[in-house]
Amino acid sequence: MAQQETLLEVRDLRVEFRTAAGLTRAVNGVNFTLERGETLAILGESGSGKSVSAQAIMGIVDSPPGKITGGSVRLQGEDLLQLDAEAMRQARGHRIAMIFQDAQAALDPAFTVGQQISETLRSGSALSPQQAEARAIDLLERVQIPEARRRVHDYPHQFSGGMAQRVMIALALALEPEVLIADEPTTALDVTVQAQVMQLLSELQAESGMGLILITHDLGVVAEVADRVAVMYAGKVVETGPIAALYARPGHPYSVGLMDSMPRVDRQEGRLLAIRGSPPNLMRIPAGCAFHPRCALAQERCMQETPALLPLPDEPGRHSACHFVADIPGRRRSELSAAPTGKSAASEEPLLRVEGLVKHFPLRSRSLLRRSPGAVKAVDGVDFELYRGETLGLVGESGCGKSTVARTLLRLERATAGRAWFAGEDLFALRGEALRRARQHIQMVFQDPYSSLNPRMTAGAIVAEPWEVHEGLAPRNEWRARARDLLQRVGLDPDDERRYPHEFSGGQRQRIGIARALAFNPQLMICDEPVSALDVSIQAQIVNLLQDLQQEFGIAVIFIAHDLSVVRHISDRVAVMYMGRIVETGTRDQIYNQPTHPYTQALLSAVPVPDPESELRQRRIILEGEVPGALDPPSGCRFRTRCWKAAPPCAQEVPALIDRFGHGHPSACLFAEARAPVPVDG
Amino acid sequence: MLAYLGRRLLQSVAVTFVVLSLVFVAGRILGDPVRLVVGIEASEERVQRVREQLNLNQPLGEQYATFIGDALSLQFGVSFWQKVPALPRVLERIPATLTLAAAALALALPLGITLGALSALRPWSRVDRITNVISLGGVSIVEFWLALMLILIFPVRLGWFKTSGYGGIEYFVLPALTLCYKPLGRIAQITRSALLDELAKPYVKAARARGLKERRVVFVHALKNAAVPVLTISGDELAALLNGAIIVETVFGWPGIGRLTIQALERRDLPMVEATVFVVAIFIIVTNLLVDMAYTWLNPRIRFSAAGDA
Ligand SMILES: Nc1ncnc2c1ncn2[C@@H]1O[C@H](COP(=O)(O)OP(=O)(O)OP(=O)(O)O)[C@@H](O)[C@H]1O
Ligand code: SF4
Ligand code: SF4
Ligand SMILES: [Mg+2]
Repeated sequence: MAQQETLLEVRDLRVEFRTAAGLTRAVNGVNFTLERGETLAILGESGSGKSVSAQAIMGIVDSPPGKITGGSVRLQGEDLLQLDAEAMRQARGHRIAMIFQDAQAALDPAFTVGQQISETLRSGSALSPQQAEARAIDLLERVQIPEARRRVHDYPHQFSGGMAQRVMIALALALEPEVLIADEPTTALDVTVQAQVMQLLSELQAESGMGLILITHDLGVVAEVADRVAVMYAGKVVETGPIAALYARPGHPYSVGLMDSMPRVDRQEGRLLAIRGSPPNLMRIPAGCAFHPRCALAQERCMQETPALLPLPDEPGRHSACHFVADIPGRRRSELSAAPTGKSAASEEPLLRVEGLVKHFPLRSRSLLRRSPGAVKAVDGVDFELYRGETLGLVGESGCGKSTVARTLLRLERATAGRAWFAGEDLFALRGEALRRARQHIQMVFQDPYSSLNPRMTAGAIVAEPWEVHEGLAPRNEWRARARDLLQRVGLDPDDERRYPHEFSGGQRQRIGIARALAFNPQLMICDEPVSALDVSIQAQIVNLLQDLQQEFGIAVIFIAHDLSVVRHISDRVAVMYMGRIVETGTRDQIYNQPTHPYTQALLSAVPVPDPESELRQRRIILEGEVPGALDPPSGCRFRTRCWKAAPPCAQEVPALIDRFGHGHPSACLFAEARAPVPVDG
Repeated sequence: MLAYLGRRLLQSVAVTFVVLSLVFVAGRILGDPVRLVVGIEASEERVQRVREQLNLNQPLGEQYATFIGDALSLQFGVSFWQKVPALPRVLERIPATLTLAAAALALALPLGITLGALSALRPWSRVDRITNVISLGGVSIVEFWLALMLILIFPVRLGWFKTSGYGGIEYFVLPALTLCYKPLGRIAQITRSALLDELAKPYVKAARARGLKERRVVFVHALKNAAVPVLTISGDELAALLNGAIIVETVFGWPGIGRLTIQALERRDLPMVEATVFVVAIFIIVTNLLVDMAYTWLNPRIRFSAAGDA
């Protein structure tokens, strides 16, 4: 940012949606500016109006039902909202471009990527088809797509998620825009691929000097790449400012809450600090400051008077919309915090022991004449133990077999090979009454709270249902009282027993799911990505809840997640999976402080750290490529195609998961060695 | 892709066998075909002769083998009514029916797609409501009634076009109009809903964000993706047109397969009926095969999943 040149200036932007359900005020006064060469992050919970703001700037809000009701969007001085449709169309792509969260869906499946790039190029300039194709290949090379010359003829579905996002970037850059808006460009990708795509975006931005607006709800990503941040709440920007200052001294109570509810891979306070309550319904935005129902500093004035976005005294370039800004410093963290909790000591006999678990899914051949072409090796030799009252974090990228392990343990899938002992019994051999009992003792909490609750039953009935199925758990005349009690324990109102699932928010539904699991009186709870569909602020509430309940009831938990930061907070021990195998396992501290397997090391270093001053940035390992297909895994060590340490022996020998250092920290790498990519603070 | 088409072809062959078997069963097992042919009062001697002629004295298995063998060598026997081999007579009638069906589809397809697209671009607008009335009419109208109305209006009132017969354009207009309305209605409806689905998808928004012209976004991108269901319906409609031809050809005295079928049925001409059913079935199978081939062009995922599988 050598010379300041304001590219984009958004003033008091407002967007409404008129639907049968009512008037949704999605954007209620958004203000920000973007300089040349700058990266501005727009941060906020789901539904805070980030995407709608971006679409309003691009002039692509669905209309009807949407309507831009006020404000201005000046691009290099010219108000885009005043342009006629044709002039606005010419500005799109040329001067201001956009990429989307799900790249695969944002590409037309019926045309090759080359056709789509050429079409875009030719819409803007008089190129011959041959010239356009040559340019398309250049562009694909620029976004580092291997074999661009060949791949230009491929269709979108032939690209992996990460590669499709690169294609999308190539498309957006085709006409060399001044401003690029990236709406959650990496949210749908695996952690290691996320890092590749973010790095590419930063490089391209540095090369071209364009302004980048990065929309995300991931504070880690923001800290990694942004120069400045705009925090949105209920359709408004409530704080803006340079990244370092804003992270160090958030200037709005909502920003304070966001910073504190974010799990961090480089910290392990016992509890996450959650923002209480949930985001507002945009049809009924609270009067005055929209944040007041959740704000610890709220006073009478906040309910009447809407705070304006004003400069912060003594802090150049920072703005905040809070009446009591002056009270924020000093009230940080401690205000909402609770004492960290310790773990009860693990008992002697493991509750669950899994040995050599294998699950292959044979591919059904679609032609009658040919034999089955092989099997997807979803789980390929997994061993672990779990003690009573302990939490095991199972982490790995999507598709590595985490959920399949869970489903075989629940006997929802039949294991191809291997054994499991649960409370001393052979789990896979159980049948009849014994199986019913085991099923009662092993409960599952699902990722998607929407689909796992029966929409026609009230919360009370959902929680009480297990008692109907498993007689003897609770006497009928106590059901109601117990259901109310459970709802209260998971942080809901006992009177919520009469409401139906759709009347709850995502986080509340997840609480109902947990209450229902607890109703079984389980010994083991398997949580499959229980928070990944939720917002950070809600995530923290649920993780804390799980932690409390586990303490209280002494339940063992298998916590499955792709998010290493969340796992760090809740786990006693961690197992890292890659392509159907555990590659490293150990206590939480061993895994996070001294990872020995190259994959764990890469995973840890790929996690964005929500601290712009963290030194981790320099030690980043960015993995090449993506996970190979599970149909035909690489010989020897399955990680070798992406491993920076790979050597010839890795292709021959399958590295066993053995304790290579003699301190109970097995690693499946021939060249395992400790490396501390993540220093522990405090 | 070849593997995919090969598989579809094999399936078509299987379907042809099923059709042939059904024709056989319907003709032989459900009642005595001889009585059907000669009438109840015919002499015992005549019955025997026809029985012989139709191979009905052999055991059922042999009859079936002979029937399939004959059908595969395209022998459906001699028509009782016209005393000539049945199949050539049926084939003669194909051009007339096909011209009519092709004309009806050539009218229905562009009109239906245009109407559907107009609706989809402005859902719930006045244009949409008018279009909906038109297409709903097409779907629910009785062709027989429509044919009579057209006759009443044009030839009778206005003296335009001919009511019946085969020849120049003046004979052709009314049956083609009658026949096209039903497919037009369905195509318009399907186009509307398919296009609405596509227009709500992220790639449409992304295409707009690239600065493509709205015309291109709708008529190149969204419409190509919406074409898959439209094509499916058009294939079905083409098959239905061959059936619809029975009524329309009878009303307008159009010498096509439909009229021939009615005439053969009236005269209890079993070989002729079998030959018409067979020919129509083959047409429908071929249409489906063509539709399948068009799918692979429209939807690359079919093309590639099929190629990977080979
Ligand atoms: N086409 C639409 N019709 C009606 N309401 C809409 C439409 N698009 C968005 N909204 C509403 O606008 C509000 C803001 O949505 P928006 O997509 O901007 O949220 P976001 O901040 O991008 O959230 P996320 O992090 O989940 O992407 C939501 O309440 C949403 O329901
Ligand atoms: S204005 Fe009041 S309610 Fe709003 S953030 Fe500030 S203190 Fe909280
Ligand atoms: S065994 Fe080889 S390829 Fe596998 S992780 Fe270790 S060094 Fe890398
Ligand atoms: Mg969004």
